[in-house]
Amino acid sequence: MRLNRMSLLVASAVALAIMFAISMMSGDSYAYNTELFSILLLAIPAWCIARGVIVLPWPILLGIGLSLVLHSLGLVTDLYNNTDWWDNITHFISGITVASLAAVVLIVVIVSSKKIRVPTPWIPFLIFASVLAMEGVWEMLEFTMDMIIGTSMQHGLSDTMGDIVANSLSGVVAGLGFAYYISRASLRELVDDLRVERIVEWSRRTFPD
Amino acid sequence: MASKAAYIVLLLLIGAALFKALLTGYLFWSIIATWILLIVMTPEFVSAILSRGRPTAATVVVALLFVIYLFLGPARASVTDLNSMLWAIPGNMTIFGLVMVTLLVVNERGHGHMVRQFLMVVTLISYMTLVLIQGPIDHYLGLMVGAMRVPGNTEFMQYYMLSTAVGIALSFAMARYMRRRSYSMINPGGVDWGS
Repeated sequence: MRLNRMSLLVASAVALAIMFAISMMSGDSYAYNTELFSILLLAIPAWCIARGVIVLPWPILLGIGLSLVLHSLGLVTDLYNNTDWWDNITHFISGITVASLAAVVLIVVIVSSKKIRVPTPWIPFLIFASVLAMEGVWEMLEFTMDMIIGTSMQHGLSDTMGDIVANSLSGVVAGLGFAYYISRASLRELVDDLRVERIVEWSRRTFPD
Repeated sequence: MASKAAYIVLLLLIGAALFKALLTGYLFWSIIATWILLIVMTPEFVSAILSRGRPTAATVVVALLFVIYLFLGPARASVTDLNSMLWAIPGNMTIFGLVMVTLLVVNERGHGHMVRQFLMVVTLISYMTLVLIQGPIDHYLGLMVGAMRVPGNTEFMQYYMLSTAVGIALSFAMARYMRRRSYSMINPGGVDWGS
């Protein structure tokens, strides 16, 4: 299982490396910097798997890889500018990925904390809220980059509104998916599989409940 | 007696806000006013907040700010139709207060338990979400009735960034307030103020 997880990350990194080479040849600095940054980002979960700490479930790793690859593909093929829907697809998929990561953090906090007890019906809502808050942060980042270094990450009001709607949908889908998951699976088993004991111990020492 | 009078004042203020929001055609603020009305009528709110002087006073002040915002702030149903960006702050404070009180009420009802930091993080995240979806609600509703209710991307982003800054400041202020009042809990069963 560990090999499968690593294979997903390696496959994503290879796809990004190919697109990095294409962007270098075309001289698109924004695209090749993004692809380079994406490869470095993929190295984080790979390093965690290699060290046996925070071993994320494979669907989340697939989501991370897919989000980064699709974003770069949109830059290389100019699909962001040639179509209206590419941006919505990438926002939807990255929204699901962010939601899954938020769900994992929440589960770890809920299962590991002795003082926090969150009513179960809350959790899908918290996932939805986490996705949209991250979407807000992302939009602010895009806006700031456009203002400061003149990138064109935001394409106007309709684009921003469409992105928010796409992320809202992914938040709803992820929240419902999570509600279905917790009705069938054990949260304790999921946390055990994540191998976060050392991080939980460290956070207990650093931020006592 | 005083708490009963405060409760009546609170209901009148929220009623006025809802009336103004419906009259002007603010869908978003009508939802917020209805939401406030539903929350203040829950038994958890009445027993936990109205039994204490300062939280009651704070709730009435926020409701008053909301009324002032709706009557004197935006001239038309628009997210950024404000004489000054500073006018957005009373609206932001209303949303933040509503989200926090909702979390406390739901927490009490669901027999949950939160520590202060967790409550403030969840409040901030939920607040940012609510302010963000105000954009599409106003934008798409405006398109349906043939009006541009959100004037532009730059205006919306500036509004959102200011609102986020206000939310962060309020989160720190509330966390500080709770730390100083470790032993005077609004929600004794639910939130550990002191931790």
